[in-house]
Amino acid sequence: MSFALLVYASAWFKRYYQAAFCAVLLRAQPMEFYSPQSLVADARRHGVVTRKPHLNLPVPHAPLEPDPGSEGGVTSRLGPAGIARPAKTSPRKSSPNATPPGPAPRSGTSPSACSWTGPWSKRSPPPGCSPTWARTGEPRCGPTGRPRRPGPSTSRASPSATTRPHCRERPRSSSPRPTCGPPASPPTASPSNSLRAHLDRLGAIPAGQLLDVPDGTRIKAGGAVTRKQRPATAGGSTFLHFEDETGMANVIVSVGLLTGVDS
Amino acid sequence: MRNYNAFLVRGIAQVGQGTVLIVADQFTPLDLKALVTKSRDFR
Repeated sequence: MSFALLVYASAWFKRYYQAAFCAVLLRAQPMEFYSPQSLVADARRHGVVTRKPHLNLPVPHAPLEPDPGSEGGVTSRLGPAGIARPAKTSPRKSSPNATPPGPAPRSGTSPSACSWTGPWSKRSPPPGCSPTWARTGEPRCGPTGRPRRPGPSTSRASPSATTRPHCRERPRSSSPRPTCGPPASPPTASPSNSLRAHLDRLGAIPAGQLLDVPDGTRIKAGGAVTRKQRPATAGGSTFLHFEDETGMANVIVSVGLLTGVDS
Repeated sequence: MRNYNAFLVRGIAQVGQGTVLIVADQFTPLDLKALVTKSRDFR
């Protein structure tokens, strides 16, 4: 009975407060089952705008921000807590223009897909921050008026790193503001975005369209594996989940197929 | 199978009550790293 109540309440929140539901799950990471990437992709598929982390956030976890364009009128913003810190032994640390490591790449994800430009490139500064910060990249804001501590990308040995000289000469007029750093695939994209043309050639159906397939049809689908159930069930079957840019799907693998593929 | 991080699966789709389950009969590994475009290195 108590489990049923939990499920009901969770489903209710997911239905009526999707942005908050996503933010709460992001805050509950690491979870056993759903990765932040899966959670954010699912929220986006349901119309929730999910913004990139920003270093000026007053809180480390994912907060909610008002946005009339998002489902329910609020967005979830990823919190800086999810950003990996650079390793102490990293040789890049001494270079002011070095690209710090972004979130740990998932299996099969190129590091460029996890663009680091997010924390520096917000369209508008967070509440309580001077607009100067957004225009020049100089960290002037903060509750006490003191310059904020440099983020993980800056080195103590090179104070000039905080101003990112290579960005100063950018034009200011355009909106959204141009981001610094190398071009990367946007974090709103799934690795399978780049695969879609290849998957189409192979005859794969996007996961989001599988519900429209008549029951019992032989189909092909493909994407990144998000989890595998181990050990197998008592009957020997294994469950897999995979994910593409349109959704997730579950796969049952029989004993025979599993041993055939493994050998 | 254990080493795949992306695959193409062929199988029977069991569709009902708003859920889909694929009963697999064939797997083809996909090499995401080889298929995804390389990032540009300014160095």
